[in-house]
Amino acid sequence: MSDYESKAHNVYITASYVPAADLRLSATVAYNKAEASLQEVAMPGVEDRLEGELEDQDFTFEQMPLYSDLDFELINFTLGFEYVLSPQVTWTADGTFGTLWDYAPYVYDDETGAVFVVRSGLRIQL
Amino acid sequence: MKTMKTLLCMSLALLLAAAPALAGEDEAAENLSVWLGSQYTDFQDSPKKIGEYDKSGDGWGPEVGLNYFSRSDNTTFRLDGHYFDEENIIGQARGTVGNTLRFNARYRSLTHQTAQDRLANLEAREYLASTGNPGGKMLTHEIVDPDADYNIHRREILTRFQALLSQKNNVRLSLNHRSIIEDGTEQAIASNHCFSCHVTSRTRTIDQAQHQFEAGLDAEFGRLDLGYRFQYRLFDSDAPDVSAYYDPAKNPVSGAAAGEFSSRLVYDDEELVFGRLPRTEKTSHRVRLKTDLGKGRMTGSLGYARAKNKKSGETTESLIGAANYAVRLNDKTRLVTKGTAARQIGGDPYIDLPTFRDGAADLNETDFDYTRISTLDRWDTRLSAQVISRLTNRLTLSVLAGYNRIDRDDYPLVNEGTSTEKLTGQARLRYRKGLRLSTAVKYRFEKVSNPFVSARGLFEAAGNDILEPLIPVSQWIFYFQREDLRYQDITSLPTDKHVVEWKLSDRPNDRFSFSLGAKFTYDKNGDLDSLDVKHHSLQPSVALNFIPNAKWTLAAGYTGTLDKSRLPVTVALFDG
Amino acid sequence: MSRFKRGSPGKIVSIALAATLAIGLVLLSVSPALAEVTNDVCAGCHGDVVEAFSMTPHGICLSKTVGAETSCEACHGDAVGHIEEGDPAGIINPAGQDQFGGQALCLNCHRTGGFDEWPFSAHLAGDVGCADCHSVHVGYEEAPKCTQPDICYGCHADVRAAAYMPSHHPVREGKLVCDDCHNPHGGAARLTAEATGRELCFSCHGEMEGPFIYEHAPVNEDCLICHDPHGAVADNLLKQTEPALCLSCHPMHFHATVVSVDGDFSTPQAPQRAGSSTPDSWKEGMLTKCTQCHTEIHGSDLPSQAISSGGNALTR
Repeated sequence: MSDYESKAHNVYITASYVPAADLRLSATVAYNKAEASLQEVAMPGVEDRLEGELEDQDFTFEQMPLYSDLDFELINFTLGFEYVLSPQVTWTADGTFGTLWDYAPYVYDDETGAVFVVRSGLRIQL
Repeated sequence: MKTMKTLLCMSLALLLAAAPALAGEDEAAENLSVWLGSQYTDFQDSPKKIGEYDKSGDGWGPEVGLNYFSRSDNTTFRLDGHYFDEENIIGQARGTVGNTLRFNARYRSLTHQTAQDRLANLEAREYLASTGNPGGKMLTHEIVDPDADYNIHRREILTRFQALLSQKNNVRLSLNHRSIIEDGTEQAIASNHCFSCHVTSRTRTIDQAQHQFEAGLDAEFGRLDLGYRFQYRLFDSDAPDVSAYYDPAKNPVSGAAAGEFSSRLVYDDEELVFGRLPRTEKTSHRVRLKTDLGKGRMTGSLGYARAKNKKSGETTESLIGAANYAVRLNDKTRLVTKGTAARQIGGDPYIDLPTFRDGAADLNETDFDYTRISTLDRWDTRLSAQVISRLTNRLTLSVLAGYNRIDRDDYPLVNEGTSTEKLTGQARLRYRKGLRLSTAVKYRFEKVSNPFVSARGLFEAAGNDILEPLIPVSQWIFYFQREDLRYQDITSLPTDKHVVEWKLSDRPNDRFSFSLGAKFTYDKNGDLDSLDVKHHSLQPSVALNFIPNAKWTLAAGYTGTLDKSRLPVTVALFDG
Repeated sequence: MSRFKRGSPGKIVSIALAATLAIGLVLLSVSPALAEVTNDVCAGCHGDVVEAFSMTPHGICLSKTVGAETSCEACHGDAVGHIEEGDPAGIINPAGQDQFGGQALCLNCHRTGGFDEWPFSAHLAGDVGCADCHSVHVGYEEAPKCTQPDICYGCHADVRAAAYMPSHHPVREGKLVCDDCHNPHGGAARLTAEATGRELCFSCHGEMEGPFIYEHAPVNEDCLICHDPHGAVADNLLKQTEPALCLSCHPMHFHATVVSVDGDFSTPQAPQRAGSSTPDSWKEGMLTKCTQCHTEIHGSDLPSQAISSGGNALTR
């Protein structure tokens, strides 16, 4: 018998600021924490049932809860910029930075990683 | 499959090319904007989780967006698309020609990055405490392509046409198509347990597609609206099979007794295909009706589907009938009733296996051949009735009662036979004050008798002496014999479930709004005599929106999930 | 979207005229006592709305049916009292109507195809009205008040939380949207002749359907026994990590109690297969991820190796 627990928390804050008619700024930050874990494994009475037949076996599982625990943390920033150069042309730029921390690597090794994306261009009204 | 892809691309291109022409004349409005730019992506450390559905790979690249809209007296056309990189593109074209033609075409592609299982936990050799020596059980792994970077490129093409064939009876023709095409590579793992447990990872090529075509005809006859749909779906893979060598079976330490060990296996000492994908062909027919009945509205449908795996010859068939009726009992009360009955049938292939220990000297052979009865075989019946009543101008109460019964043909459930019954009750009270304040509380319970279980999945009676040895001379009791001693049914599904949910949304003024919510779930299974299997979860949420002035817009929120389950976690009291 | 009455088949002009007549009649029949207050009068106070409305799908359609000058009243009803007294309560506000009120107004035109099941939908029963998601005063592209999934998250906060889980469908990346799986207007799974959730999943994951010779019973029962499609902490949208999920229905592998040697080892029959273990290594091998060996967990046509398993261990 054991207990399995998973917890996840997600928080986001986003802001948009329009200081002038031709300028728009935005920012978003999102945070996520997700965990899953097996608690202590207990098998009361199992030794009584063995009757000496399985002397080479070990029925303790102290390490087992650690094998497949998961523990991730994710933070993601997004910044946006939009500037109207003329009635037909708008300059846009945005950037995203995300980092994921893997505090309990599973069978895929440590999956900690980061991504950085920046994008910029012109929106042209034809 | 290449021809199919070509045809799909051509049809999409034709559609996109032809659509503007439809809207070309007498244009009253037209709008075209493009976005031209570039993007730079950089991954650090592992990209597999943080960039699971992002592009694969670093670096600069061009990016293009397009939005086009045109409208005339009789036509509309809209085209939107964005090119992120060659593997990540979205595009959609939609249009109408009066009320006679409506079409929609969509293309989406994405990259799915998948990590490689390092198999590092599969490395062990048995130790016999009774003798102080290593034992014969060994576990090893092998990664053939340790540096492989697994990515799947998924493309989806969808087209939908609807045309008015005749104004008389409002006869409408629908032609829909959807294709999902995937290519790339993924990890394929083979395990063999001949003279040791040896798990091998290699790279498998992905080249698979699922095509779905649908044709439908609808017509109205007075107050009766009738429709028919035919659907064909094909899943197939053109990727080469991946294979593994399965070691010769023999004593893991001495290498002796090859015949004895081999006679317990279906195969050994040969290269064999593994992880083979099916070639699934599915056809379905569905008729539907809609009519006004008394003061209410009725809809009904009858469907038949047949799926066949062309590689194995296995089939499944489904027949389903459904009827819904909704009626307004008075100015303040609605009644909604629903019913479905479905019959599902799978094939029953005969599994012809080699004789266990065939030719063994003590001649104690065991035949494991059997007819595999499909666990799909069943009747599934669902009924529900919901009464929704406006108690006051601000209060609405809805009460729902549901019943579901699944009668399985063969699959055993606990000691009660093969049927699962579920009773559902739900009450929801909603308070709404204008368009600003709304709050609702909902309670739902489910009472299930004999939920789906792993029948006799856990716990063995102690002692081997109650079993007949397969080999009288040795008195060996094999592990699979002990499976017959299991006596505990087990499942993660509940017999009792309770859900309480509350939501509140308020907009005190035009600058501020918020919503709060919480959902609590508790369920348990009370049928598992010696086990205490239960589960509970809590999901709180809050969201805030604030507009302090014309320049600023702020939003924030929190959502959480706290979930806890009690698991049985038991051992097998033997070792093979 | 619209119903068609009798006319000359195949002629677009006739169709348009017939549609005009039909929709006009319908609207006249549902709009309470139109007094023909012209849109110009409405524009006196709601100028921006009236101006923008003329370019919307509804505005264009209504201009051809009830007339461009009186299209406001087509949905808002008799405006005379509202104009005379200035009382918002003196005019129909479709956004404020619930399932017992003005939603019939929308369904008079939107009555076929995807709206057949709306009277039976969970949204309607939950008092979610058309205007809760749709805006009728905006252009072609802005008909929903905002885009998926945000509009859905407004009510389904638990789904938003799930979408941020480490394992998720690519909804938050914008590669899938909610109505790829859900029909917000009611009805069973999309385009199916079956009511089961399996069919919905197979419509994208066709390789799971088989049908296979060797089955895993819960796959035939319900995908949601093991998977949470909105998001999960565990990989592959599993409700729990392996092996916890598997141990909900199965005992531990029968080798899970084997003790391992403490140190390096090699396999006598294949010395190149060597490794290093601790006394707990055999447990770690058997109790970390069951699908490392039982890879074909959704079913297979190929037998597993042991005869005694009936070929049904789903390892090949």
